[in-house]
Amino acid sequence: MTLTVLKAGLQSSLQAAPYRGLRKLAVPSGGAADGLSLALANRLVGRPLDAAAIEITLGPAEFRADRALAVAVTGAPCQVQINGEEAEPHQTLHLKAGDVLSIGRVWAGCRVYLALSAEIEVPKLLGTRSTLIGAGFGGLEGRAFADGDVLALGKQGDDAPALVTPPELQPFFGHGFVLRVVAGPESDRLALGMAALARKRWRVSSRSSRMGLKLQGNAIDLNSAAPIRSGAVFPGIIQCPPDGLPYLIGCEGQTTGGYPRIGQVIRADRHLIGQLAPNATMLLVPVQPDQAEQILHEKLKLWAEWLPGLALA
Amino acid sequence: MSQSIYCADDWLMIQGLPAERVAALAAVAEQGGWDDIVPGLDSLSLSWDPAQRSLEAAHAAAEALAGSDADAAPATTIAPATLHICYEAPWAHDADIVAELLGLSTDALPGWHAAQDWRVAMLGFQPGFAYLNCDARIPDIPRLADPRARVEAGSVGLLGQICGLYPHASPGGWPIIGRIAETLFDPHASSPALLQAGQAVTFARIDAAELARRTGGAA
Repeated sequence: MTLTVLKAGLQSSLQAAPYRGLRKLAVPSGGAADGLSLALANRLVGRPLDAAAIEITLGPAEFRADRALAVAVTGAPCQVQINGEEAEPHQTLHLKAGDVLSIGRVWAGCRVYLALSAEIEVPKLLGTRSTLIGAGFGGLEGRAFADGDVLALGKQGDDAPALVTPPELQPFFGHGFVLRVVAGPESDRLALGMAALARKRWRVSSRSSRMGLKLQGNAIDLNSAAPIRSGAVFPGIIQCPPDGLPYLIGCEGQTTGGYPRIGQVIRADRHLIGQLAPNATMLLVPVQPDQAEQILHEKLKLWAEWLPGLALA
Repeated sequence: MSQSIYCADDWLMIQGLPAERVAALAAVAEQGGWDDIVPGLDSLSLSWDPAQRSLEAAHAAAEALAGSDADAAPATTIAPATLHICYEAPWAHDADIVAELLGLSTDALPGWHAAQDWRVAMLGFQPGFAYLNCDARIPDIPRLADPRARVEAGSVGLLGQICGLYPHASPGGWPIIGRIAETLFDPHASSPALLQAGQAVTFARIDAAELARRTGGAA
């Protein structure tokens, strides 16, 4: 009743729902960097939308089913193979005992999600099975997988579903992204206003992880670079450190900070941060908070039929 | 700075608050149905799920909270914490420079530090990392020009006007004056953080042998 990690790749880890209500203790939210892709994968294997699944960064990675198991692959586009034979993402795949599932290097995007029809048996900690890699707890021993790790699997229902994500609902990931942002608490320091963020193409640097992403582009001018008194930051906050190059807080980013907060990626678009790989480009489009609220409602409505109860964190 | 409210699409921040008001409002907010309540040094941030609560309702609730009478806030019922601290070598790496900035002799620094009435202003930086403030006038203590590659768990630093407590071994730039015996964060505990915002903290001096005994000799 196990799944063996043959090749863990750059960073593969167990991710599920975020940690909730613990930011006052400086515990980051974490969870799947792209919670929408996690939900889509779990849907295809008949598991709760935020059940623990495997988050694979950039690929390649390889796993062996040590018993019959249904799985599904979503997220960043990549080659999927079973025992070297081509297989499809976005549909339920039935593995026999001994089958090897290979995930290739992603063609675009950043993270692939592999959901299993059986529960992955690691202890729930503070309400979830997600791995906080920076803090070193949760998931499998608080760490990313290593080659040879063996994941214990719980019981699964006898009849795993045989499903395909409706084609019109399969997210497309390319190399360019559009993220909508509302003003941050210190956006009034932007010498050119929110236009300073909007009128250029930002590139994700290699200094990127689940904690945060350093952006490259023309440095931003602030009226005042004075540090702020430490206060809350949330995933999607765009900080402006002294070098003027934005730092985008990721799902596992710290809970407070002292750099000016010049923007906030809206909740409806935050799952896309998990698909930003080094060298991806992005446009930041300013919106008002009430527009952002409307966009979220519309997005949830779009998903309501296929992913009932979806929560975008 | 006077009080004002910043508002994003799923969180807002009451800013320009005196430290004691942050703790008082955070205590009141506990009953407000917020997803997260995050105290800052001079701010309180509150988040919500837009699927559950409208932006308008959240903003109205925050305005009511910000305008509430500080005296009406429930008295802090969090029990004070006593932390056992060793100010001796090898745990007081930067005692010399901190003492000099405070205008004290190095020998007088432990007495000064242990005599202050400290209060947890906020947690941040890493799980369980506590920021403490006190009423003493403290000159702005700068970050180490050359951050340490490793600061031990339990290390006590002074930076700016804040006393910081490291829950985990990590790289760090805070000047370090001692080390406590207590575990500040344990994700396996039902209440994972030892300290919380608003809590009073007293430091009790112990020697290096006692620290070693209490921490199982961890060095």
